[in-house]
Amino acid sequence: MVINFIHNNLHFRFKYKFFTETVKAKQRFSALRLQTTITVFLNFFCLTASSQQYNFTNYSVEQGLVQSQAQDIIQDNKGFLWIPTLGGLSRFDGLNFYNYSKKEGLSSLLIFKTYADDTKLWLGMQDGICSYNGRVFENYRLPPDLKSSLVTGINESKENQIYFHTSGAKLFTIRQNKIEAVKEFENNFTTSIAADKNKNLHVAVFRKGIYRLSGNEWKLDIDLQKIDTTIIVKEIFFDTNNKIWLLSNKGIYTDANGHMTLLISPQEIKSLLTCVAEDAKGRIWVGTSKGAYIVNLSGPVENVAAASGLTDNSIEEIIKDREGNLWFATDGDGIYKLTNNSLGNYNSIHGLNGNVVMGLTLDDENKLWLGTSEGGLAKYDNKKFINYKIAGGNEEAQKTNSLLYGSGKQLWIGTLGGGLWTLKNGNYSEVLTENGNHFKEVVSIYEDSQKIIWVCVGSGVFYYGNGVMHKVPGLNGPCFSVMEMGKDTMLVGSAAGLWQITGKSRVTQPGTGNTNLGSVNCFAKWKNYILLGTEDAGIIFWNPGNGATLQCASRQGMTSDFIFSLFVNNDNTIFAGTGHGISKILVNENQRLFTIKNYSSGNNLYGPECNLNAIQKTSDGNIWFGTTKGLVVYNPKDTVKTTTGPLIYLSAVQLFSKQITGAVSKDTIEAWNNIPYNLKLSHKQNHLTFEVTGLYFTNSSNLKYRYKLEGADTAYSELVSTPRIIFSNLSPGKYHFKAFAVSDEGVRSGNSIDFPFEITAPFYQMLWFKLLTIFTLLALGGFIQYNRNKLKFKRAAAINKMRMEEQLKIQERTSEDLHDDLGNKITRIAVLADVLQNKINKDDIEKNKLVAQIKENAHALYLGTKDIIWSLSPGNDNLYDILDRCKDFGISLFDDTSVEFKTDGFAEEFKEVKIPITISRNLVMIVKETLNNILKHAAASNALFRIIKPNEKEVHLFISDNGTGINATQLKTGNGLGNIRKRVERMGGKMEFMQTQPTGTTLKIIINIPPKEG
Amino acid sequence: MKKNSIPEKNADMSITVVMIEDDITIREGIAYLINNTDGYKVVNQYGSYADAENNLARDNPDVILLDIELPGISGVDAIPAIKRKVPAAYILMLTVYENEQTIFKALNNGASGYLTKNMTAAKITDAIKEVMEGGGPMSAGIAKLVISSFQKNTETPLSKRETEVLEQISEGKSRSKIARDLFIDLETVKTHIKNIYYKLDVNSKEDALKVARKTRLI
Repeated sequence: MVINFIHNNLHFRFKYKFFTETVKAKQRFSALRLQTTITVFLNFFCLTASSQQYNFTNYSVEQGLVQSQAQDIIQDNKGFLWIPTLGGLSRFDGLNFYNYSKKEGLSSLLIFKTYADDTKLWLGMQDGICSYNGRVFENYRLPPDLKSSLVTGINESKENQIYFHTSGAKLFTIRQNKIEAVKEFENNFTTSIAADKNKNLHVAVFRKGIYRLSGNEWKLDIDLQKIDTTIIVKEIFFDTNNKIWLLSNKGIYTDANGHMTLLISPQEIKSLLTCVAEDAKGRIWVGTSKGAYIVNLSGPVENVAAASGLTDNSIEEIIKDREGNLWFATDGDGIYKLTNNSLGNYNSIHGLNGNVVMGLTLDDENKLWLGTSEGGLAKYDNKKFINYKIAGGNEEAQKTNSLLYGSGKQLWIGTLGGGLWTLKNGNYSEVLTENGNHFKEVVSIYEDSQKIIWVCVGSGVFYYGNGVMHKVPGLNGPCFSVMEMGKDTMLVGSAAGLWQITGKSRVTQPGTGNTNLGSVNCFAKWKNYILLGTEDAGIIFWNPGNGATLQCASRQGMTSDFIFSLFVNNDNTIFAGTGHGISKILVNENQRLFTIKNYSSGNNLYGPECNLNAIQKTSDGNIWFGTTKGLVVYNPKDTVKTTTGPLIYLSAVQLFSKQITGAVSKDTIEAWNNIPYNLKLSHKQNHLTFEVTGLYFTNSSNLKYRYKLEGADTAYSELVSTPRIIFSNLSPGKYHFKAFAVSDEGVRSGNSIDFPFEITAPFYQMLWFKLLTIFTLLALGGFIQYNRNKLKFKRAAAINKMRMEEQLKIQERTSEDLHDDLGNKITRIAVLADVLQNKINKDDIEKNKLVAQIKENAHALYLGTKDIIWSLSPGNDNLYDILDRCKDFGISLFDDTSVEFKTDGFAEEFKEVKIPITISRNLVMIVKETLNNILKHAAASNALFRIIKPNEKEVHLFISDNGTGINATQLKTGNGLGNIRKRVERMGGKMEFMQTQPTGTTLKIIINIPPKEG
Repeated sequence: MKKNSIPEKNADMSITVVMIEDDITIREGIAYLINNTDGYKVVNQYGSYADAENNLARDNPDVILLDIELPGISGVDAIPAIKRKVPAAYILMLTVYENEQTIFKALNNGASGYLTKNMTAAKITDAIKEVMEGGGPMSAGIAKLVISSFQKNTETPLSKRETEVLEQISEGKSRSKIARDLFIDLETVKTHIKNIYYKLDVNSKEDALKVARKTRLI
């Protein structure tokens, strides 16, 4: 939204009335209509002046400015730009706007003026002045009886005291945090305030003059009554030489040898004067209610407004930033930047007959000839463009495609479809081929050292001789450029790469060592190299002497790999017109390094697309480029090399990618940038992200950074372009995050970041704890030792427990696998064997026997896995269950037999006795084997399974029978007995065979109970 | 001709069996063995309860051999639903290894007994016959679980004799030995076991009712 709000200009519009008719909002709005009429009148004036296009960059709401009506612009001592608008306050760092509105604490969004002292930002508001200390806005209200309290000028004295005046022209100061009227001028009207280079405060007082504050005294420095009694000074300005300039209703005055002299009369600049600034080249810029003017001490003023890339809106303020860029605050169009090293631009707005400039050449009077594909031939006389029409040519001949001013004072004109023409002494004549054919499109024209004219066309290369063009045989495809390589040797760039013509007829392919050139568009010579401008490989440096090549393309920093034009300046600087603007290339041949500066124009990231071979240097040193967006001029003299480096600030510190601000109290957060200071983090808070902001208005987007984390890194990083640096897994310690910025011209930032922080060690790594530990150890060594042993034991037990649990899990899984997989498969074998048996003839004894064996083995396997599964199952690891299983086996074994099986000594307490699987497996097997032996071999009538637990460490098992007993041989050889012995050994137990009286045998097994855990 | 959907029982009055078992080899093997035994007929086989669900009523078998571990709804969980569809059918659980806890749960859910899959054909058909006559196989381990289950119940529904039989089984004695030791017929032992199964089923239902009341479902 645009609020039409006119304030300071009112003094001029209403002239003397401004102090009798105070500024009321109503009047401000109605004044708009007045301004419009003035603007219409002024349009006439502006049209008379034509000016070149400047490379202004506009930033407005679209780029993030809070509102489009910038009322002022300043740069604070940290380098940030502040822009008060009629919709809030914006801070700009070259890339991003940070906006302040009521949410941030502003009492009103209408802000007219701003001033930054060492610590605070001051804002001129509707009803007083407001300060901002980086945290809070503080309002200082003016007395309510004041008729106009809109603050339109702020500055400070040498003693750092703030002075300001209102639109009602009253001067105030702030003393002891209170507003006071300045008594000296209580009955006068103060219309402007400014400080000179020595920080002397000056004010302009109506019907008096310019006063200077000296200590507590105001001294009349310049008596304006002598000059003009009705002069109203709108603006006081001191240039770099501390020379005073006055903008007034009577024109622009400046100091000439101690006398105030009228430099620009109101007739010269009829727009209302608003502001004044000096650019890096020492030119004075004046802002008006309609665009700006450059004031030359001698010669006419130059209007710079919409036609030159600026605005026709009112310019509220112009400043020069610390790098030398000019900034314009405009009412309705945001802010504009004018950088030093900009390209000039001419297009149809400036009277050019088209925007696509295809041909450029210089005649013998040093006049630039150009041709556009829309309007054809034109000549530039350093002021305006004069158009030419090819007499006798058809419509297609009026579209220029290529130009060359030859040594025979003859202008060669290649058209876009209307043939090849020459212009000499005002006469046009068409040049035909030796066969009498017309040319159509002529791509490029070249003159060699023998003064022979060569042209490239879509079907090859021609050369001039005897009034006609002769075709070079063997080249039939599209050719773009020719260049003389040596005597009688021409190089040809074509869509099919590079060719060489010797003696006008022999076409060969020269070896560049780079066989994959693609299309070659243009040429230039640089030292021993021939430069080839290619279609997608940038510039190839080719040394035909030794075949060496160098490449300069987007990888080396060019904005485009498409090269349309090449020019080598006297100082061996290479200029290339590319698909994305203009590149200036400095070559370090030995190190094979390129320093590339890319130029764009206006607000664009990239420059305009250049046209084939449309490149020409004029005698003034300017280099001109034909582009699809008009004529672009690079003025090397116009370029002031910026020596002021960028500035750098830490803009955010994040912990685990989150802003720290919320986590710590407000007291530990720095004003202005919300960065915590004295940051102390715990050892777990070890992931930090730093965001830096580089301030470099000349070219913000090409800033690079180097950083280092002192305490972790030994050296600074390589140059990086990302402003976000992340450190993770930082170990406890004291650190300093350090960083600085480097501009694209290699200038290091004037300041650097040094952000200290600490990651505290966990208490057990702290010194005090270690000392305490040592002390305690000395005092209570034994006790600690005991405790440590206990701890160790506990840990071992815990580890053991974990291991057991893990083992249990494995057991469980194995059990499940066995159950699910093996069980089913064994069952399948059993079932299938059964089915098979069913299908075999009952009389086939042999087969039946085999099947029976399969079944038997399957069953045995089944029982075996069943045992394993049982022992693996959790819960079956206590002595009671194990013995119970043995007992169950015995009962079922002896069931329906003549042997009576009995058990004795089973106690519930056995449930508490844990038996590891290695023992339980073997134990069950031993008992089974023994009981089987009794049934098979002992011929007993009684079997007894008895358990005794004599102490906590052992269990004794007795398996007795009243059978025939076993003899010594059996003891030695019996396979079953051998197995039993092995198993007893395996479980770390003991066994003993005893003869029982009167008959029978007893097997005694002693099992060691593992100690209880914990 | 019959017009209703329930198929006519076999003319020879064979015992009809339905098998629900996911292992196709085992299922078809056992089915073959059963079909090769006179007086038994497998009328249908299914790989899961979901497959069987809608056909059970039509199959109307005397006995259902139900695998404990089925894909989808497990055998144990499928029992109540099967009971609703074919209330008269006896359900015999099929298991690879006797996992007593699972079998006991199945019995509580209404199964009439269980078979291990590697039993011979003769033992399978015996078990089917046995369950048709009431009762069923019961291992010592399961008997122990049954006892402890009834011990929780202050008013045990089991008679003194039934408790004795259970205790004997839990000691691992065979039915014939129990008969000898208790001086009763083998058939009487079987009847006791049949009653125990019946009461187990009823018992479980009462438990369910109690739980239901507590949670105010009724």
